[in-house]
Amino acid sequence: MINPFSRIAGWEAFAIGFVVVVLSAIIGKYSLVCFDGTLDIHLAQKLTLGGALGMQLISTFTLVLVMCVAGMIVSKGFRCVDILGTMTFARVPLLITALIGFFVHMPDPSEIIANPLSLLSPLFILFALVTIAVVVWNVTLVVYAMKVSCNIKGGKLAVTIVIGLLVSEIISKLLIYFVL
Amino acid sequence: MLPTYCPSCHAQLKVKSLKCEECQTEVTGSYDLPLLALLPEEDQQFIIRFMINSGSLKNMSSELKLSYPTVRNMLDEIIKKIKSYEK
Repeated sequence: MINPFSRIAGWEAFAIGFVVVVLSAIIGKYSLVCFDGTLDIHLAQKLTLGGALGMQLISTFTLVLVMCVAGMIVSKGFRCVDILGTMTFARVPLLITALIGFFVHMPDPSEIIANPLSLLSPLFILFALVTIAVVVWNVTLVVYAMKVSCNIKGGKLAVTIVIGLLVSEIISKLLIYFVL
Repeated sequence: MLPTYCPSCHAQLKVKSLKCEECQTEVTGSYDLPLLALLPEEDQQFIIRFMINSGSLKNMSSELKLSYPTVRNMLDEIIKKIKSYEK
């Protein structure tokens, strides 16, 4: 649950992670949940399959690339395939949010303006809480992915994760905005 | 398991005497312990398995049912310990 990477990494982790990442994007298309950034999960009102897949893949591979570059700076002797595998696998929990999206829908902007309390429905709050838990789980997996793949610990690991996530969030947001 | 550290003050122990079981001859002196003997037993076991697997981390990872980077990190930790003993 917290550190699967002591047992799985590399191509094996990538294969499983990639299937789940694509699956969560396809499910997200129908449950109207989009993964529009490395750390972003939002409800959408309309979503195309290309858009859902594009956002998920851009977010995933931006994280992989940024963490590979970070790994080259802070560590020596790591394999890029381990970062590729573990970082892709770290996005597996997002599948939960894609599934939960079936039980909640994004109200129309006009509905929100007319009745802002519509955002406080129990299902909407449940979705928000599950999403926060999923993001926390996702970040925890990213931390262990980096720790195992690059053999870094303590302050070095914390700084790498904070900067890496921040940079990949910005880049993924820009790419999604300009490419899709 | 060979004791390597003093149970009282935790300083590194030295070999004072060695005895022949055949003729009971005793050699006394103050000899350093071999570097590998200073490592914890689990690290020594790891090194033995590593040698048996011809130094293949890939084989080690399937034998120990651990991921490749985890096994490589275990080896890196042992290398760090050996380097610290060498100083």
